[in-house]
Amino acid sequence: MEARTPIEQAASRRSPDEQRGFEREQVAAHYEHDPEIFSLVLDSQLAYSTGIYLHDDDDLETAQRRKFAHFRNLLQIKPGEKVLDVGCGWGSVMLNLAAGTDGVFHGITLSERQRDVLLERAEARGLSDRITVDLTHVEDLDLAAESVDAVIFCGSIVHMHNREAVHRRVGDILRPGGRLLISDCYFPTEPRGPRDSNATDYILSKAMGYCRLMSLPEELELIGRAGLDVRLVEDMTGSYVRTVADWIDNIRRNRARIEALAPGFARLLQCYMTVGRTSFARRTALEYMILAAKGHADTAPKHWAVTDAR
Amino acid sequence: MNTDTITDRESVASAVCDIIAETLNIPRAAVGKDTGLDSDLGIDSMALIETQVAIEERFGITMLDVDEMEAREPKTVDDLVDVVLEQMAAVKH
Ligand SMILES: C[S@@+](CC[C@H](N)C(=O)[O-])C[C@H]1O[C@@H](n2cnc3c(N)ncnc32)[C@H](O)[C@@H]1O
Repeated sequence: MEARTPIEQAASRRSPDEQRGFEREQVAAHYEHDPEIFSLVLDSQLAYSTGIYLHDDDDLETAQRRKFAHFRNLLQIKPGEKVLDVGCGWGSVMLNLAAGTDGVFHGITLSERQRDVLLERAEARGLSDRITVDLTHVEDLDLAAESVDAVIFCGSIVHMHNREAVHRRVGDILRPGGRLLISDCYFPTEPRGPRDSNATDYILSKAMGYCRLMSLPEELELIGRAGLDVRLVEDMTGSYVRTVADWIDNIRRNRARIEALAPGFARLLQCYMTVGRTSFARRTALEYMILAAKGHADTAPKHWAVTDAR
Repeated sequence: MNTDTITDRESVASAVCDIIAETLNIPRAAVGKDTGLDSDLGIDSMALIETQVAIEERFGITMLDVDEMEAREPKTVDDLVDVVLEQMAAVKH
C-alpha cells in the first residue's frame, strides 16, 4: 500500500508496536480536550463526523439525525445483536443506535474523557444496560472470532495506520451475516494536489495527531481480502463540506468561550476545518460511507435509501 | 478620506503586521504594509488561512473563504488590509 504523505512514510518506518503507541498518544490528545468545547462546535449529539444533507435549508442537527436514521437502516440491528463501535467518540452513533434498536453495544476509544462522557450520557438516557465502553486501541481488541454482528467505524478508521491488520481483525470477529459500516475520508486515486504541503501536515498531523488517507479502491480491496463483500458505497463529500462549514460557524459564534476553556484551540480547530472544508469542496479529499457484509446478511437495497424521516 | 479612516487603517494595518509576524514566526520589523505576501514572505495557503483566522479572532469579523481569497489575489500586506477593512464595514452595516 502506498504511503502518500510524509507522516505516513514516517509511520511506515515505525514497528507496528511503536506506531500503535504513537497513535494511542497523538490521536488521543485531540479528543482529550474539554468536552464542553466540542459541545460548542458540534451538534447536540456530539457527532464528530459527517452528517447527511439533503436540502438547502438543512441544519447540522437535522443532518446528523438523518445520518443516525440512515445507519439504523443500513445495519438492520436485531434484538440482542452485538455491535462494536470502533472509535466511538462521545457516543453519538452508539447512543442513537442503542435508543433506536434492541442491540447491545460496545464502544472503544483512545480517550479516557470520551469514555467517561459516553458512560454518563448512557446512564442519563437509561441505556447503561446495553452499552459498555473501553479505552482500547483497535489492534488490542480481545474479541473471539465470529462474536460480533456489526462493526462501525464512523470518522475513526482514518486514524489507523495499520489498515490491513484492522480489516483482517474485523473479518475475523464478525460472525457470518455480520455487517461493517465505515464513514470516512479518502484521497482521490490520482493526486489532485501536493500531499506534502503544510496544509496537509496541519490537518493530518498537527491537529488530528495521525491520519492515513487511503484511496477508496485500496480500502475496498482490504475489505474484500478480509472476506467481506462490499454492498454499498455512498459519496458524502458534499455533505461533509456542509457539516464542516456548520462547525466553523459554531466556532465563530462561540469563540470567546472556547478560548477561555483552551487558549489557542479555537484557532487550531478553525484552521484545520478550513483546510478540510476547502479540500472536500475542491474534491482533493473525498468522503465516503461504505457498507460491507460477511456472507448472507439482511441488508438490501430496500434499506439503503437516505430518507427524510426525522 | 478623513483622518478617522486613516487612523483606523493604520491601526488595522499595524495589527495585521503583528499577526503575520506572529503566524510566520518572523521579526515584526520584516513586515510592513508594502511587504509582498508571496514575493517577500513566501506565505503559502496554510499560513494565509492561519493569518485569516487570527484576524477573525482579533477583530471579531468573518474573513473571506479560501476561494474568495484566491480570487482576490492579494499581493501585499496592504491588499490584505483592504479585505479586513471591507469585512469590518460589512459587520457594521
Ligand atoms: C472523529 S472521532 C469520531 C467519533 C464518533 N464515531 C462520531 O462519529 O461521533 C474519532 C474517534 O476514533 C477514536 N480512535 C482513533 N483511533 C483509534 C484506535 N486506533 N482505536 C480505537 N479508537 C480510535 C478516537 O479516540 C475518537 O473517539
